[in-house]
Amino acid sequence: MIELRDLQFQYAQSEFALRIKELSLAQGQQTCWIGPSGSGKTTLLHLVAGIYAPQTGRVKACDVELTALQEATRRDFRIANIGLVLQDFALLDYLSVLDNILLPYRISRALQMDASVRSRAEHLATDVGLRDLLPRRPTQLSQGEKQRVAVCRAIIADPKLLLADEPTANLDATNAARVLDALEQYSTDRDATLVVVSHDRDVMSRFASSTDVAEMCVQTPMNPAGDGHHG
Amino acid sequence: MGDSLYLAWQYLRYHRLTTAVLVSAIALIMYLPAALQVIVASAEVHFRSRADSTPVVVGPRGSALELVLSAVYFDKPSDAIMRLTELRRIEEQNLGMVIPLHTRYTARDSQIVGTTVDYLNLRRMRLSGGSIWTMHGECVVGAQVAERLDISVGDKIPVSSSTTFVLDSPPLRLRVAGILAVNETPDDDVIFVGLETAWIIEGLGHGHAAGAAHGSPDAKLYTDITKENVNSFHFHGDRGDFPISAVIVVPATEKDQTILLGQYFSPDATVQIARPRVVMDSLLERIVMVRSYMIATIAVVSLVTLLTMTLVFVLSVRLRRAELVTMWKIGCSRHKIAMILGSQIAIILAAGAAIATLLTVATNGYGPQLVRLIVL
Repeated sequence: MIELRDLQFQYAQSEFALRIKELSLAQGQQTCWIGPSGSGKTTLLHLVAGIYAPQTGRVKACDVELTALQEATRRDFRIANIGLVLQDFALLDYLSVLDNILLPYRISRALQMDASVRSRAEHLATDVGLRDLLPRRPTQLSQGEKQRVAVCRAIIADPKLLLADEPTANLDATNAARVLDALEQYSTDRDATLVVVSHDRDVMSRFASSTDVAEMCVQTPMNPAGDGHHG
Repeated sequence: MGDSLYLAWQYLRYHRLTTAVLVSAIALIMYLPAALQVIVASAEVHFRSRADSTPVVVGPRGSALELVLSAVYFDKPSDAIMRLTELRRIEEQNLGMVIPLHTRYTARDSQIVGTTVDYLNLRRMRLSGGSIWTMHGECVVGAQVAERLDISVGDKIPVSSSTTFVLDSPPLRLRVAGILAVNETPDDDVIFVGLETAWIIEGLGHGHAAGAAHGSPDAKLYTDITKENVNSFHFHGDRGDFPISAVIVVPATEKDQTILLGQYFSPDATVQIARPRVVMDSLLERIVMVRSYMIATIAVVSLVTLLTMTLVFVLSVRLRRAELVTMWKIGCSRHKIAMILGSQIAIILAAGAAIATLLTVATNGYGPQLVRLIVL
């Protein structure tokens, strides 16, 4: 499902660099990438999602080599196949909860909006306890409710790969558990691969497999060492 | 495109105050020059049509513009007077139709114009009710006066007491004999009376009958002229010395007009002659010049406003960076983001243009009234 090989990535005008010899995840696998702030977790997630393109190396997701695709094709592939739960909810305040969930369908021609999509959005919202909040704006929601909206938005297009960046960062224990339950439930039901990025060891403890990104060949000016290997 | 418009609309709806300010600014930028153009054009039509139907005006010496504004547009009561003798002198030459105007008094904030039926015929005025005056103390009111004062035929209008100087007699109260149909000219806001009634208001004529100031509970406050006392009203002195404010002359031919114009060149003359069309053309030239200055000023202000709006837009895009990055990360193209932002601009421009168009159409529709309200 996910396969990274000989990956090198560096931000422009930055000394931060990330190198990975090999990393792979199977279809339906649920895992947690853990590491301290600045270790490259989010960067790695963006590389897997095809948001960033590495300078060298290959990234495969859902059996498609993202590094071989043009940016536009990669973008269309991402929105149709990869669900993203971004940091700090990243909801649009001026849209209702329903419109936030439907956002992927409104911003890309790769997805076609129809009545069934709307119905699915309402169904997802019902599943996570947001049914009555659909007309509201994000500013009228609690932190936990916002993150559940973000999860619904990530899975509305029925992705085969679900990437969640610090999904429990701003939540209390109850809401954190509820959000992780929703992500794991979706992954199990749809046999979708789930990657949760977190700096929280409690989150890691929920997953059968986990990876410490800091140990996985991250090269920074403070840690100029070289290669690593992870499977 | 539909989704871009939808997202843009949702954003603008959410930030409705900012949107309202931007739309208002655009609407004003578009509306002001258009409105100015419409009002000036309407003023030109209004002034010219009225001036064209009033070939020549003779009046007391002084400002030709004031004479024309007073005699043709009834802009305000005029204290300047000329003698009836002058009217008779013109009449004796048989150069055309001669119509006296007496515009010294008001009633209930409307000007009283003492004249003859010839004036109503000249302006092609029709009655919507009642009849023309048939005796002293009767009046015919313009449509706007009737509406504003909510009066009908048979009602009475007291002449403003501050304008009358009748000793031993309370102010005259005019009986409404008829109401004129709307004709979208200054005549709508005028109370027309016979010339002799105007002189009675002035105190040059009076009655001696016992009932002149009786017959109603407020008889002590007003003088009513009735069928019973009308015959007692009379005038003292030489009528040739009686005052009038101006004379409208409608020469029968171009030659008659030229003859008439030639009679008032003397610097010693106590009266002047004016051609309203020429006077108004001169005034309109100045108005057009002022309009040009105003349009130039509006253009500069509009440019500054547009630059400010551009700055506001650029700053708002920077403030929305996190939101736009979110859309891009999810899978939105930069082209789509540009379309969403462009749709916002398009909606604001379209809304501003729509409001400006509606306002301009309304201004155009109410052009004559606006001109009368603003200019006269």
